[in-house]
Amino acid sequence: MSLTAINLTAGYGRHAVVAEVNATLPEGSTTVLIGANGSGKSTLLRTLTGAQAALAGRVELDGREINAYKPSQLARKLSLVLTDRTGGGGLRVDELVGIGRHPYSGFLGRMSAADREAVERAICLVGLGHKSAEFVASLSDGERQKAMIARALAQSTELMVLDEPTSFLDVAARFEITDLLSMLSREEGKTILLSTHDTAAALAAADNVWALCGGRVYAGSVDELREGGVLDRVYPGMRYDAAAKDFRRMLNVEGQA
Amino acid sequence: MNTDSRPRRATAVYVLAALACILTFAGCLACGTVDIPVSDVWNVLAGGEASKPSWTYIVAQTRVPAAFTALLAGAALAVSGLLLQTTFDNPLAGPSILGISTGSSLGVAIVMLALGSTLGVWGHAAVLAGALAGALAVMAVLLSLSTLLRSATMLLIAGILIGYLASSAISLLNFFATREGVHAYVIWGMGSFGGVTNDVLPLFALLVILLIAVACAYVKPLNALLLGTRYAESAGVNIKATRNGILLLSGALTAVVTAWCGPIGFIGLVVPHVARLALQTSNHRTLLPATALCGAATGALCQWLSVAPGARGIIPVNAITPLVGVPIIIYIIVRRRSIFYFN
Repeated sequence: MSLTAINLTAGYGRHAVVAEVNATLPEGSTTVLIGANGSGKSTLLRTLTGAQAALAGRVELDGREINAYKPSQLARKLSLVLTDRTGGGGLRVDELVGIGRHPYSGFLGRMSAADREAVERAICLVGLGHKSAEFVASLSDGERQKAMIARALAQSTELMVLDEPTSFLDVAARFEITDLLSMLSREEGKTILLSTHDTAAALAAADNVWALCGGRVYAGSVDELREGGVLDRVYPGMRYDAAAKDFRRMLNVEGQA
Repeated sequence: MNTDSRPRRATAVYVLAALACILTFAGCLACGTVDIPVSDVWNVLAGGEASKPSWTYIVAQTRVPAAFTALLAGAALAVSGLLLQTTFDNPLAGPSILGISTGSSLGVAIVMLALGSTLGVWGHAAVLAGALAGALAVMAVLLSLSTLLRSATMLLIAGILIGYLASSAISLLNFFATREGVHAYVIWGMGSFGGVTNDVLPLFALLVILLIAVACAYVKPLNALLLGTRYAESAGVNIKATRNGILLLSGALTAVVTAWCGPIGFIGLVVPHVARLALQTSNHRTLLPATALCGAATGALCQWLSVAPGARGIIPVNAITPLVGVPIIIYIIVRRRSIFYFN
């Protein structure tokens, strides 16, 4: 499953937020999109997933322009976790996660045994097995985010795009989810693109980084971008220091492991 | 709560709603401006004759079609309201809020007030055509706007504004109409389930049942829409086609009822909430059938209450529906924070 941006410019009206992106998501790997607030991470993700029209250039999924796919076709290839506040408070957790099986389930949404198994597995993977029958409305923000990640997992797509998936989670849950995503790309060959401000946890799991800075995307491995000074530009001044500190702490954790 | 309790609760709600339908249906048959003993009503239902020929006629030709109409109209309006509330992600959306009922009323007003004296024997058919044309016109405007407005909230506001425009046009037509025309329109506007005769009832029933069956086909996208349009789209829902289809369906359900029964308020707004609270879920697979059943029972209850005064006359249905609906809406608004599906 390959996602490629070709001369892609994303933005609103005539205002380009991110320009001239030429990058390909390496298959079966975790790519982390980092950038300061307002740098255009969400805009770029929306454009990459076809939810927002590109100002210029194009996005190709498996060699075909992403907007050429019907929603039902795209849903079998690409799953999303967004920063949007989730509705569906009146659904139980398993019902919400079951929506991830819509591309595969019957006309009226009746699920097969395989569908139910995929839902149960996804719920267990994010650690919500004990809350499977509870109302989504009764979940904390973090649990609700985990449920949305489970829904994306249940969708069984090769490509997962997640916009700040750990933003509502506590520290332990952040590493838990980041590790889970990393495991999914390593062991199940999923291609994962996630944006985050949680630099330490994300870089620990990242195979590749897309760094957004000054309206440009710099793609490379963690080491390449660190040595090339890109991280300096993404997190200038104090924020960079904090990120670097997190980064070193992450390396220590990794070293001990 | 254990997962297994869900099918049991759904079954219990279905059974109770079905019993409520039977009870209210019986109430509609037993009550009316003419006092007819229950045994005579039963005799007529069983295919026999009542003690007086006029009683046989009243039960067979008036009460039975009115009771069936109330059941069907209630179900249609409730399902229409549910479709709109989910599509617009707004618990206060309903056929009357979106201007569909008002559009239908405008169509009828044009027929009754502007053309009334010239229609002759075609008057009744023209009223039906006017109601359908009015609702379809509003839906056409809404559908056109939906291509420009991606936000469901903006589309809801557009619907409210269209409703105001239609109301304004109705007022102007009233101003210039004859006294007889205004009188006929006011009577129609009060709402009544008594306008469907036995001849028309099969057509009315067929249309309502068919439209509700089509609504059931939208169960999957409706559930996905609970998460918001972007998540629904990522689950494979074609947002524009789905929204247009649901609007058309909801408009058709409203138009059919409005054409024959007048603009009936509150049922479409209130009943979906009652069904959600009873079922304890927003899952449309169980919610949609329960909403239809609860709507049918509510329609028949309103009809029963409207004929309950007996010989003193019939209360207009639109004087009853707020009495049933407003307390529920106030309860929902006040208890909003503790109601599960609002969080």
